[in-house]
Formats: sequence, structure tokens, C-alpha cells
Amino acid sequence: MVVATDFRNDVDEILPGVVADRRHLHENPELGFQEHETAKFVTERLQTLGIEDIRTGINSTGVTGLIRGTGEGPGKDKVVLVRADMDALPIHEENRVEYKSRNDGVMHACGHDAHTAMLLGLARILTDRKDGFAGTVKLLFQPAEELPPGGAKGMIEEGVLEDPQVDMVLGLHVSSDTKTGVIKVGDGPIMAAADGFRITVQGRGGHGASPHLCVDPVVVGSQIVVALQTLVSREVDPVDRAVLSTCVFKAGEAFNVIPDTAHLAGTVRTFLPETRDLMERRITELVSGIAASMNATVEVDYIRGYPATVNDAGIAEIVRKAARQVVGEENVEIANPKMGAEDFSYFLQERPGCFFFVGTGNEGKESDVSHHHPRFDVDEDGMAQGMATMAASVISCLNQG
Amino acid sequence: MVEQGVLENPRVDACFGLHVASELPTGTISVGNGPVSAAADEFSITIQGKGGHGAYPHLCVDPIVVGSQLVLSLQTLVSREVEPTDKAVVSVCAFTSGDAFNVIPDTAVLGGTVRTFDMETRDLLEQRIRELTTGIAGAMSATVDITYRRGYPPVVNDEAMADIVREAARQTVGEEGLEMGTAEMGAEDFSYFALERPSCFFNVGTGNADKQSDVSHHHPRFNIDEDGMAHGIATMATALVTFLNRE
Repeated sequence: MVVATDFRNDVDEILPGVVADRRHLHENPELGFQEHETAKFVTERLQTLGIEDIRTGINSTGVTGLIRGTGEGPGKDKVVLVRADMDALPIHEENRVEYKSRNDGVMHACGHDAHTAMLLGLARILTDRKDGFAGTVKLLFQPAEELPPGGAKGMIEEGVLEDPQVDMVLGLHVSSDTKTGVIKVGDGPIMAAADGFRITVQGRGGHGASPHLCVDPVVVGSQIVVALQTLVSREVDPVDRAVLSTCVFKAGEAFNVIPDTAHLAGTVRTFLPETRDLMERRITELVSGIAASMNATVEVDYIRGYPATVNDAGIAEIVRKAARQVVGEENVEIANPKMGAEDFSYFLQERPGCFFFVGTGNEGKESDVSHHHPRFDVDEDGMAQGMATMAASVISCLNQG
Repeated sequence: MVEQGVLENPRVDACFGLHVASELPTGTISVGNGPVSAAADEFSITIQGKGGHGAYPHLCVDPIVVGSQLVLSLQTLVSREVEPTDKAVVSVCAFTSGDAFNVIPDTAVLGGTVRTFDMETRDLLEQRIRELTTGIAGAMSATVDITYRRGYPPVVNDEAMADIVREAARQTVGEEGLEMGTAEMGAEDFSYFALERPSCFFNVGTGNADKQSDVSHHHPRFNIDEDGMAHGIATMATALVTFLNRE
């Protein structure tokens, strides 16, 4: 039976190939739902490896494949899904590297190239070790993680969690604010639900010197902005976490004409579904009430984005144990909740699982730059720890019994 | 023109001016005492915050919240600091900040207008707007840039000159055509003359629905009932002669 520690050597052997794959993908980034060449590259590699039941074109460019273990073990009827995202961002790359993007204005600025390369590496390792485990590993390459509504939801709707029925889901993300060699695993909600809102305040415009003949939407909008700040400070449990930011306020043009309307827009981040519902309800109530009290009318649009990313505690512990075997106890940390959002959350809503972070931040290699920055890069040594941890986690999940 | 010496050589003793008025029916003359038009000033305030990710407000200084606090505080100047029998307006007419719904912006730009009739109130409001803006921004860790542009001063009619015009108007359009002028929020640069000499600025009715000349000033269909011009000329001529004979 395969155990976790076996993978470190496997990974070291294939790492140069994985790095080459990652650089190839980095040079050829594609935007969400346009990952045609990337999907083709992935499909051809899966075919070469002899991956079973390869399906392509799911929710535009999504690809899946199966590795059926031929060995013995308690995981015989289990299916563990491992996911990687393939899409890049509309950013102009400023890195001066030989594998710089050749697609002007598009860049892998979040590490999805590394995710795809790592999953292909994982596919190779597990295929080589097929006879050492029982159970099925489903590889899933998805489009458009960065582009709402995201690629995950559509793939789930097209049935990727069935046939065979998936029991657990695993995913990882490289992290430039974590040192290479460190793996971070959190329990429960680790990333926030990210929603948006748009508010149009309808007043009555007129001459700036005749306010009594108008309904001033700038004042109404300002009351709303200030009142909205009390939702987090006064209505959310202090032990819970939430953010409400009004990021756009546009009203009026001429300095002496009270405008008709004011436009506000912003974002809301929450971890708990009850808090998310509370924010949506209270934003609508506050805004409507304030506008009405000041004789204005108002339109509120609340746009739900990705749900919070919620890890299963049991599976998170499995991943933590696997990580300890790969990088040592001292290099496994509890992940602090992040306010960013992930569409892997949709998988976690359907099946228990774990999403963890793999350190790729290295000042010496200038890979400690923020995600989504034009100079973002990945310390490729970190991919080794990521693959080994994932491989060990997959096997542990299957062996769980 | 005042700077170029038009009130000297010979030395001017009094100034008179008129304005046609489409909101007054032809045959009406309106003459007010004291301030009859407002000073119109404007301000532009740039609030310098610190932008960043909408989900990490603690790393930013949010200029929209600062701007909103400021808008609301500015409303207390007229309601709490201007003598209730005085007349003033502070309006913030433009508020522009941000683009992406999930990115806290760096700056917010506010623009607005201030109308006053009394010179002291005018000075007070400029001073208080500057103080409130600087104070609120500072309290919330932002910095500000304020541009305050003074427009025309208020037109202030001299009561004695106004009485002369009123008597002249009675002779032109009769008692029934004479109206007591009120303070209007529009601005008028005759005020610069009125600052230098006893003056009177009055309104001459040219509004006539039948001639479609009762349309607002500055409107693309504005027009004048030319019969009103006769009342204007007559009233002005009578007033001038009365003034000269009085001296």
C-alpha cells in the first residue's frame, strides 16, 4: 500500500517536467472560458499517460479524467476529486523572464499555470503507483475561476460530481505571501463569500441655489454611505468577520446644479451564510429606509458572487497530516481566513473536502509579489511540496475507509 | 471696468442698472432694498485617501466615507451657524469617486456652490468650509486639497437710491405696477459698481404669455416683450433726472 512519504522521491524526479509544463502554460495564458490551447495541452497529456474516461469540453473548456487504482485497500469504492483551474487574467506581464507571456495583455498572475502543471504531475505520479492503492481519483481541470459566474458551477451542473459519484474534493492554491516550504491548511470557512451591490438614489435635481425645490441625492447617498458602516460595526457578531466597502460614489457634474441621481456600488465579504443573508437584507432595509425618509426613491441590486470556501475539519486534518510528512511539523500552519473568494467553494458546497495553500513566496526569486500583480511569479520548488502533499492527501483520503 | 477707472473722471456719484425679467409681467417694475442678489461662490474639494482592495479596508483610508461625512457636516453650516434670519445656501452638487465595485479608490472629488447675501456670512462660510473639511479629513487620516473660488459679490441696493427708482416707477407704470423686490439667489456683477457707489439695480417686467416671452432666462426659448423696454427706459430716465435734481 502506498504511503505518503513515498511521494517525495517521485515528485523530485518529475519536477523538471512539471516546471517545463508550467512555463509552457505561463507563456501561453488564456482568459476564462477561452482556455482552448490549455485544455488541448491537458487532454493530450492525459491521453499520453493513459488516463481513463477522458471527457472534454465541459462548461466550455473543462476536462476530466479518471485514475482507477488496481491495488487493494479500503478505498475500493471511493472517488476523490482533485481540481485545478486553467485560466489567466487580463494583465500585462512585467516580469523579465524567458517564459514571459507571449499573449500581450494576458498573464498567469495568480498561479493557475502552476495548478494545472501540478495536477498533471500528480496524474503521472498516481498513474505510476496505480497498483499501490484502491479507489478512483478524478482529475478535474476547470475554466474561468477568475471570471464570475466562474467555471466550477457550470461543470457541477453538467454532472462532474456523478458517474462515478464523487465522495470528496481536494484543491490547492499557490500562495506568494507564504514562504516556499510552508503548507497552510484551515478548518471551516477559510475564504469569504464575495458579493456586490449597486444602489441608484433617485432624487430631484435643480439649481444648486434652490435646494428646497429639489431632493438632493448627494446628501441622501452620503447618509447611506455612513449608515452602511454601522452594519459591520454594530450588527455583525464581533467574533464573526465581515466587510462592507462602498467603492463607487458618482453623482453630479456641474458645481451649481443639484443632480437627479447618485450611483453607489460596493462589495460585501462574509464567512457565514447567516451573516451573508443578514447583510443582504439589512443593506436593502437601511438604504430603502434612509432614501424614503429623505423623499428620495432608490433601487438596490445585491449580486451574489462565490460562496464562502468551507473546509471539512476531518479532511483538513488528513491534509495536515500528509503535509507534516512532506514538509515537517514546523512547516505546517493553520491558514488564517482570507477575504478573497474562490469558486472551488461550489465543490465544497456539494461534497466534503479541503482547499489548502502551498507556499511559493521567495524573496530571493522575487516570487513574493502579490497575486494579480504584473510581477507575480511562483517559486517552482514550492510545486514539489504541493504535489507531494496532494498525492499523500489523496491516498490518505482513499485509505480512510 | 471699475479697475480701469470708469467711476472716476468725472467722479461718479451713484449707479443705476436694470434687468429685464421674464418672470414679471410686462408693466411691472420690481425694486428691492439692501441685498437683492446673492454672492455665488464655488468650491472643489479633493480628498486624498489610500486606495486598495475592497476586502481589506484596514489597509486603506476610504475617501468615500470621509467625503460622505463631510457632505453631511457641511449641511450643519446653514442650519446651525448662519443666523436664522439671514439667507444662505451650501450645496454639494458633485461627488465623484471610484470605478470598480471591489476597489477602494484613492481619492474623492466634491464640488459645490455657496450663496450668501451678507459679506460677513460669505467670509464665515468660506472659513468654516475650510475648517470642517480639513478637520474631518484629518480625523479620518485623509488629506485634502481645497479650491475656493469667489464669484460676484451680492448686489446691495442703497435705500435712498431705491426710493428714487420706486417713485420713478410709480410715474411710469402706476402704483399697481410697482413691486417690492426680493432677494434672488442669482448673481449679478453690477454688484461691483454697487460696492463702490450708492446704487440701485431693479427689474423690468417683460413677461407676456401671449408673446411667449414668459420663458425662463437661460432657456433656449427665452424672449422679451419689447413693450417692456419702454417702461424700462422711462423709469430709468425719470430716476436719473430725479437723482440729479436732488443733488
